[in-house]
Amino acid sequence: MDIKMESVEAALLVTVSGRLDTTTAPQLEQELNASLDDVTELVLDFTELEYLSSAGLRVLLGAQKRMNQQGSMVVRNVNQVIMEVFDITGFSGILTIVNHEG
Amino acid sequence: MSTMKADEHFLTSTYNRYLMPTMAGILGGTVMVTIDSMLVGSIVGETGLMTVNLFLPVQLVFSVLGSLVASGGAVLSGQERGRNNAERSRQIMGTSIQLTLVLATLSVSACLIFLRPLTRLLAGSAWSADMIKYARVLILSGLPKTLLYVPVYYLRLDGRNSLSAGLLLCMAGLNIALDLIFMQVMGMGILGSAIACAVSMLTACLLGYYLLLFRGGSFVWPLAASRPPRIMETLKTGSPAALDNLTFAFRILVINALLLRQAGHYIVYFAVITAVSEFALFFINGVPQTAQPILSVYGVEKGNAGIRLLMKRQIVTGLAIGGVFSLVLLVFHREVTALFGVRQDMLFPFLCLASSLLIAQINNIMSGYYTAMNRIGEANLITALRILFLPALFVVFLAAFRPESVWLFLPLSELLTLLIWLGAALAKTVKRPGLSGVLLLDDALEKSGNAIDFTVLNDPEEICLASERITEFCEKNNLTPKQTMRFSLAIEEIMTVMAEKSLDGRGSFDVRAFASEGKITLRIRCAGRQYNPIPLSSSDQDEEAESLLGIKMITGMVKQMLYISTFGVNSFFVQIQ
Repeated sequence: MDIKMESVEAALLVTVSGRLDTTTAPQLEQELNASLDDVTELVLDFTELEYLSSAGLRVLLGAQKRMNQQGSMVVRNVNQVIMEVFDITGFSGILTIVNHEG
Repeated sequence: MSTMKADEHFLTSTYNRYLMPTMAGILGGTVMVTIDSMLVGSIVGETGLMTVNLFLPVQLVFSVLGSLVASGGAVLSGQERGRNNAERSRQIMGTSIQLTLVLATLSVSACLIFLRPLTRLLAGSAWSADMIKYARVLILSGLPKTLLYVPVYYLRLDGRNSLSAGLLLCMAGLNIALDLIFMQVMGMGILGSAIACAVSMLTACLLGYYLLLFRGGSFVWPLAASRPPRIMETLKTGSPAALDNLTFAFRILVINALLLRQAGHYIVYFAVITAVSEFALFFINGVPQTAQPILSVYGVEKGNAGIRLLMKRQIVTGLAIGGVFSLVLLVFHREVTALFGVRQDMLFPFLCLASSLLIAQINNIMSGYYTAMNRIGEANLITALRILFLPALFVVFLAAFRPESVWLFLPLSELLTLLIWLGAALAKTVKRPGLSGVLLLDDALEKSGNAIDFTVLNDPEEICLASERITEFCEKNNLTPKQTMRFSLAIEEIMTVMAEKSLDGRGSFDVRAFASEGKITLRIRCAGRQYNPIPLSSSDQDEEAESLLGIKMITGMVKQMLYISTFGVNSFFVQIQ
């Protein structure tokens, strides 16, 4: 899994590619925890995310809970395969998902 | 990551681990009949031995009732436990006890009301006043005998197998001691044997319920009944176990009647043969009973290589134990005969019995195979042919034309049964060329290469690598990205949960994925604590459901997800849409 972070003032864009699974989820969690202080707008770009397991979902849930208190969180460019995971687990109702570049 | 290595290791360790306890459990239940017959024969004499054999069907009727309710109830309770519903599992046991009590009371009452006609039916012209006294006490012992099946089966279900086997062995020990006191010391004759039987049954029954309900375990006092009672379901589920006892009861009844009519003096020999055959059940039934649950799992996952390995192992083990048993029986035939108090030479009947046991072992392994493959009709046909119909046919024929050779019915009925199922299997392979060998296995899957097997170490990185590895298989079988994702997720989520909840960081997983008949199935297997996360994932308790988010996700994505627990092995079957 690769994580790229771009920060513009209080906004943070995180691009995740590859597999977000049991072994890689802690890495994303760690990087988010270290970077979310003072962030009011978090954007997660999943254009190149191929795989997402429950371990990854838990990290997203944790990030969403934190951002509810300090701003907003958007997940964008989710492919059909990952979208199915969000739909089945009910995460599509919890997360703000935007499926176009923006 | 070789399949065969994984299968051989799994089979060898699992089969060997459970063979001895299974055989000990069977021996605990049958040794009483054998030793009781020996003591009656040597203390009371041949008339006593004949009486025991003539009334054996009565005892077996109570065994039929007991095993029918207790085994059926235990299976249903086990299923409820698998769904993590301990209270419902306990309620089914309560209903099983009530049902057993009602059936036992009714049958004991009926036998006592019709005691005289029953005695005349079983003993024909050989009936006597002593026999009626013996039969009365024996029938009364039917009440604790029937009730005893519940603690025996439920202690096993609770994983307290050694306690269950120990209970039966203690009962046999007490019966022997009381037999000696009542028959040898007090000179009570055959009546003493019946009293010994009744007292030991009652003691074992009380002890069994005490151990089951008041000494730890899952099925604690007070009893509760199941609503609805699920009586028909219990009886249907318990019918295969009861059928064995029922067929055996009819065998004794029919052959006794035929021998009484045509060769009455052979009844005593038949009593000895029956007692030794009962003893031999420890391997005749023990070898296939150990393999049956594992075979069932292989059947579901179409693991033909594993099925063949296990069948071969059973044949080798069964014939080795049977060979040694038969050899000992023949070498020490005089000593064995003397143990039963029979003076005549029984070499020929024992020779017939010894040769029949080896063929019986193969027939029974085949019957167990059919049961495991859910071909119950074929399994029951083998049982009915070898135990009842063919022996009766050969006894009629041989007793009429060559009475001195009547014992040939033992190997001939087994041999003809073997030839019948072999012939039927051959006919099926001719009709359907895709099926191979006598096991009628369809090897199309192996030949097409649409199956993949590998072993995964219990380590998060290995688990995620396995999840990636399955992608190749999915691509080879032209799966869509969505299907591939479901497969990969199933591996990661199931293994991650089982690693934590069942394996405590140890052990490994065996994975098999196969495409057959347009469906793709994934099997994940691990040896560890029994744990079924499927029903728990939809639990109302937030904490439990939260930790099983992955399982809930898989359940929603796949066509079918099944959990089977056998002999400490958890197996998951996932079918992808």
